[in-house]
Amino acid sequence: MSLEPRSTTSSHPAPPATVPDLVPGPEPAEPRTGTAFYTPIWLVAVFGAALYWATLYVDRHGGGFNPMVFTPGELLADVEARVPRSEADVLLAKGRQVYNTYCSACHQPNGRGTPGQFPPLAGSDWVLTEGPNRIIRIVLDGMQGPITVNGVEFNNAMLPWREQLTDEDIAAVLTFIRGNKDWGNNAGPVSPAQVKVIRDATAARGTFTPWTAAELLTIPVKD
Amino acid sequence: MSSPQSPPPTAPAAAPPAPRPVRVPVEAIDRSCRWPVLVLVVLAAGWLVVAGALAVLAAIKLHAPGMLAQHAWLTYGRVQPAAWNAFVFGFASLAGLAMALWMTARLSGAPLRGGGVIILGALVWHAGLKIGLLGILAGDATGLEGLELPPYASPLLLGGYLLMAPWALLTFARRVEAEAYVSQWHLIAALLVFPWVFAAAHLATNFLPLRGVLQAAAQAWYLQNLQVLWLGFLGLAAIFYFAPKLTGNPVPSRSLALFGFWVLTIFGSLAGQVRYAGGPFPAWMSSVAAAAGVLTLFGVYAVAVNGARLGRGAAGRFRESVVLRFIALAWLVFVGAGALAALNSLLGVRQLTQFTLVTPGLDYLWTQGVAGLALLGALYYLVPRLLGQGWPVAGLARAHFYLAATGILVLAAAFLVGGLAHGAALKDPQLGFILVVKRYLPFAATGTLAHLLWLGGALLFVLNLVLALVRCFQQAARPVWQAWWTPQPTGPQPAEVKP
Repeated sequence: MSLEPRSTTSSHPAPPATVPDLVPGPEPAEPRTGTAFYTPIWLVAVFGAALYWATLYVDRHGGGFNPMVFTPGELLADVEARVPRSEADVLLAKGRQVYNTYCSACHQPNGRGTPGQFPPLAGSDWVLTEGPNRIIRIVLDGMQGPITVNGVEFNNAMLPWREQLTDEDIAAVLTFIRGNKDWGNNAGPVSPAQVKVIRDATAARGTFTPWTAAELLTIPVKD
Repeated sequence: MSSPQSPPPTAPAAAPPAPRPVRVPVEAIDRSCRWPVLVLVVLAAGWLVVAGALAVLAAIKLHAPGMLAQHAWLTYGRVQPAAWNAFVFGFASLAGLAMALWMTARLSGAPLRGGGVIILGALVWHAGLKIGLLGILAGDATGLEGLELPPYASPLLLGGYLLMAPWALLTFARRVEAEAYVSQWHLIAALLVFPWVFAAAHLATNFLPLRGVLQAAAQAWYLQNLQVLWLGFLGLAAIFYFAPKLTGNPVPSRSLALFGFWVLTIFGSLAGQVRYAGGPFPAWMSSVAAAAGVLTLFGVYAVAVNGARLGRGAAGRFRESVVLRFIALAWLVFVGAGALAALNSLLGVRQLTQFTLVTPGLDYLWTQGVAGLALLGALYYLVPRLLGQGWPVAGLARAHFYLAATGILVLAAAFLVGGLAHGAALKDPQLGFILVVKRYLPFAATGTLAHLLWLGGALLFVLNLVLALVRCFQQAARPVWQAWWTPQPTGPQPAEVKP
């Protein structure tokens, strides 16, 4: 079969050429580009400004191109601060929360206490003991009467938290306090199991019987 | 650097100047294109109707889910991807390749090379797509939007492509003029981008799957590149070719076109992750995509300005040329969809439009609006040149334009307005999910009307094409036919023996 162009004199008349593009006719010239109109300079300037904005935008929202950052506007450090990496970090993060809720009113956010009223936790010889046996008891049942911390005498009362805080809360906040590097503390963590043992062992003391310093000093710091 | 004292390097004897290539007459170029391009056009026309019918079926199922629900292979989850794949890989890609081959030959002033191999490639692609579509309907779709073609079909498409597309580049290599025209940049970029994007995305999801959500990231990148750098650039090539040709005006600014081309190539390619903004992806992906999405506005602006100046003083041409109307509407849709897509990449806007009808609405604008309309215009122009005769019924072409234009505009309006209503409803805590669905159903139902209009236009196109081919066949066959029926003048007829 041949598809050669037929002449218009064949038996089928060509359709009327009302639509010049739907019938092959004299071919218009192939398209070309003019030279009169260039890229306007203001467009280049605005494009440059937009590129600058784009770099700022990516810098602010792109998380430094780190594959670990998923939330726009965060950096890797923010993610690491928010997302704990190990079990101790989980306790630490939780402990910070518990401390800010229950402890920082008296012992202050910086852990230095209030001179003459509330003893410090930062660098405290009661906190940085080898084991946490005494401070677990303090947090559970509170404390009353004179106590000497780092050679300075305090005489006040601390509330018991036995009913308010779970074993895990207490372990977390004590881990946070003992291991708080910002305060210069560097003592080992406290586990919820340790808290549970002491909570059960001291349940017989009766609710709301605060400890005294003399009483605590008879208890070994470590099992 | 050689010192003046050193002997001059022994230069090879100057080769005799290569004979300056001469522009081949357009009739000869069209003759070289005839068979391969016509095969592509016929296959594309068939897919246009198949895609239209499937799209109507899918659109109906959005508001009448019970219809034909007893047949698993006609459920929405299979018909909808089948419609999309039939349109993008059946119509748009094959028509785009047809136009690319013909236009490259025309603009290069050289006859098209590779005739038979191109036809073979077209048939391989066609067979692959058929197998893939049957696979999708049978339930073998991969489950990633846009990458549904099952793994036993996609290599066939790529193989067919590699038999077809290189001939455009080889023809381009024999061009008469060294400087390439605007349409050729877009064509060559599109032809080079497609195999890379298609192969990389299928590898990353089906053959060597990436881990977890990264598959979705690869898919978003693929869809964006397919829409902008393959379908969009095919559309732009048609716009930059036919608009100056039919209005008689030159493209106003080559440098502005170049600027737009590179902006779209670089930033259009990066903006894919906007599709999943707010999803579980590294923050840099979303923010780079949002910034790139906004920057594509400059490429869209360049196309808008060049196109608007092209149309100046050519109002009469629009009235008399159907092709120019298709092209002008495709340009308008490109500018509109491009601006909306740039706007949509801003996080504040995205919070309203995410997971609404706006996303499929913009997708339709890119696939059917830009590529579909521009390629239909191109086919209406090139088929008569290949056949050597006009369209049998010019009125069908005009009717097709109005049907297609109304279809696209109705679809865009319904999905964009409906999408905003949908997004506002999703944000309202008082509305249960089913109430949200009820609120956007009228808009989805309007989509059925739009797809019906589009399908009607497609049928007119195919009818016109069939009439043209039949007429061609008749003319070619008539001499043979007449020779066969005319009794041989020499020798007496043998007498019939009656029992």
